[in-house]
Amino acid sequence: MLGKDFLENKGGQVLSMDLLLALVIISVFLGVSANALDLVSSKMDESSYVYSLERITTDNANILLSTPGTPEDWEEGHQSLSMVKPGLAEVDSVTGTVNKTLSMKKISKLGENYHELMDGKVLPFGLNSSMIISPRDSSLESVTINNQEHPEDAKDILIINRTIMCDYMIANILTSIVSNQPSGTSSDLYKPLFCPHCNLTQNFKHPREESENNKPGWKCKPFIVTQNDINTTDIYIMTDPPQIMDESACWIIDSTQNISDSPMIFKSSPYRLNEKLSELMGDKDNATIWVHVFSSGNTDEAFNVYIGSFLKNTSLEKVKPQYLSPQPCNFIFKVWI
Amino acid sequence: MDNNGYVMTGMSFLLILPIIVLFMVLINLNYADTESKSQFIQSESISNVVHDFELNIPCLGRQVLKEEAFTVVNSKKPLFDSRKSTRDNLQLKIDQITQSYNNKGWHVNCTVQSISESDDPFQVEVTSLVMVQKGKVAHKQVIHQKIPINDPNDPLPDPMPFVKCKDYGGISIDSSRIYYGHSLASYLEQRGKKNWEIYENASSPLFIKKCPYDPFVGHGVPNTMETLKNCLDNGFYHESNDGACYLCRLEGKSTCFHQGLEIFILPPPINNQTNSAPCSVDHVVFGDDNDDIYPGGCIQYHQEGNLIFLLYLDDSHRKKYGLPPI
Ligand SMILES: [Zn+2]
Ligand SMILES: [Zn+2]
Ligand SMILES: [Zn+2]
Repeated sequence: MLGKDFLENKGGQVLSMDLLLALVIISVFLGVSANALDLVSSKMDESSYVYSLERITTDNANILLSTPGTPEDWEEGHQSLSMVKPGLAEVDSVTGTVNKTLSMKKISKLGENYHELMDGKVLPFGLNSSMIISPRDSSLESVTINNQEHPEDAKDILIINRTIMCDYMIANILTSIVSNQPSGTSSDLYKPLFCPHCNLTQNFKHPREESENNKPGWKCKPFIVTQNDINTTDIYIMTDPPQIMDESACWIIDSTQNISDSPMIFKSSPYRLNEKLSELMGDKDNATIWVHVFSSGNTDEAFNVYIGSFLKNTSLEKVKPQYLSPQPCNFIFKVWI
Repeated sequence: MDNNGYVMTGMSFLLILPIIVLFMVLINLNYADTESKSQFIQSESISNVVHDFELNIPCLGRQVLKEEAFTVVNSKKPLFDSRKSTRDNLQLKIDQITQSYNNKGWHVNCTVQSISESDDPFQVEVTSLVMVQKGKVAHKQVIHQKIPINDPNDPLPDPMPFVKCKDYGGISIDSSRIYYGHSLASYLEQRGKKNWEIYENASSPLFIKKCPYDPFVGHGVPNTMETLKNCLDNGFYHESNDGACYLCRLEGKSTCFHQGLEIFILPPPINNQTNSAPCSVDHVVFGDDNDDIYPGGCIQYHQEGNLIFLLYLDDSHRKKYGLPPI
């Protein structure tokens, strides 16, 4: 035994040669190890978020923003949440490709089940976080997915701020008449449609407006409305900007079966079309409706017209053309221990 | 050295052992960590590359179809195999993107596997295989996509009439309509069809636009024909079982087995009514076999002074569009 050996050492030395040698080797290894440790820690500083909170969070936030999640339609709730890995990117229903646009349906589902979907999946257990989407356009409502104030003394707060496109999904665009042609259109190929009023006489007539000149005239477009749209959504006609300068501007909504010549003046607030459309449709399941818009053609007074269907009982403040298409937003994600 | 000739006692070796282990773990840790981090960065940029192809393939595909269609319109020579040539031409365009990635040190490969007709005749299906490799991370993905052919801001022309009328005097284009001059009439005359002269100076639309009057039976309402007139004025195309799909139109065919398109070919307005003439639907007028060209009864859809605007349709097309039977 060790104690016995020590005591019975005849030479009377406290340190044997062996022990000394061992100590030398130990110290050499200690030195090398310390050096290696140093190397690792300097590397940690260098690419700062190796193994740190920041690194894991940033990576997972990127995945959250750029994938639709698994399964892709997890927001529909067909699968139990424990099987779901969340992702917020929208999948194009026609082409099946993943857009770089966030879906509001997924966002609100994530908000409802925040801790269940985030803890251990996007964030390591034991971290606190808040997530907010605030639109660039300050007139739009910002969305709080998880609201938690971080304490004053919280150490190691990480803030991720990204610009993303967000689809509010409270409305669908039925048609739009924009004052300038979409870019990338070859004007020799692009001809406006003939409207059903083009055969009529006098002020009933809507001649095709040539795109290049700035003369007053009608722009007309068809769109399809179903009985289901009328029953389950509120359909509005609105302009951008809401208050238009053009005093001659007016609009007509009719169909080929029911051609009308009673123009309406644009109001500064959106106008609900459900009754008018239901009248035009009768008892059919769907109908092709024409919208005709008259404008002075003056570029200073130019305005865009949108017809969109909003979820039933959407408050009038939310009936805005901006909600018809994805909007640029800031995604703000704060994480702390 | 002790009396037994050991440099180190077992005891001191045991003391050193944990340090050796610690050392190895540290080195390993360091290495593994750097590797996993670089793999993550690579896999994310790989998904960006795949996304880049996903965005580009439908646009380039439409560009290829448009170029091919205008080549057929100008040369009047049909494509021998439109699926193969579209695939090859699209591959050439995609190779340019691939090349630019490979120049940056990537290993990217994208193969267009097939171009085919879709269930929706206003779309063409494309299937491609993307392979991306960078460093140790490799990714392989098959993408199925649909190319829309009825974008109102960038429409595609219908090449079929140009091929059909090539040997009959040719046809002319005015902005967005095809004018047949004498060619369609002589096409029908050579096939011995009654009242072929109705189609002297006939016209039809040049660009594919989808009809908004869906369901089609609505064309017959109201019976004063405003809906039908507006459809004909704008030259809207309709889905049809008998008409040719877009890819077959590039091959100069008027009919095919796929879900296809049909369009009305309008005789010019006349003063006196002729009750029967070849049916004014493109897959009938340009029928491949002599029997495919059958007559239809007249429908008046408009009148301006003495000029009456007529269309000739058989009973089955009248039923489809909700028009009164002969
Ligand atoms: Zn109009
Ligand atoms: Zn039609
Ligand atoms: Zn076909």
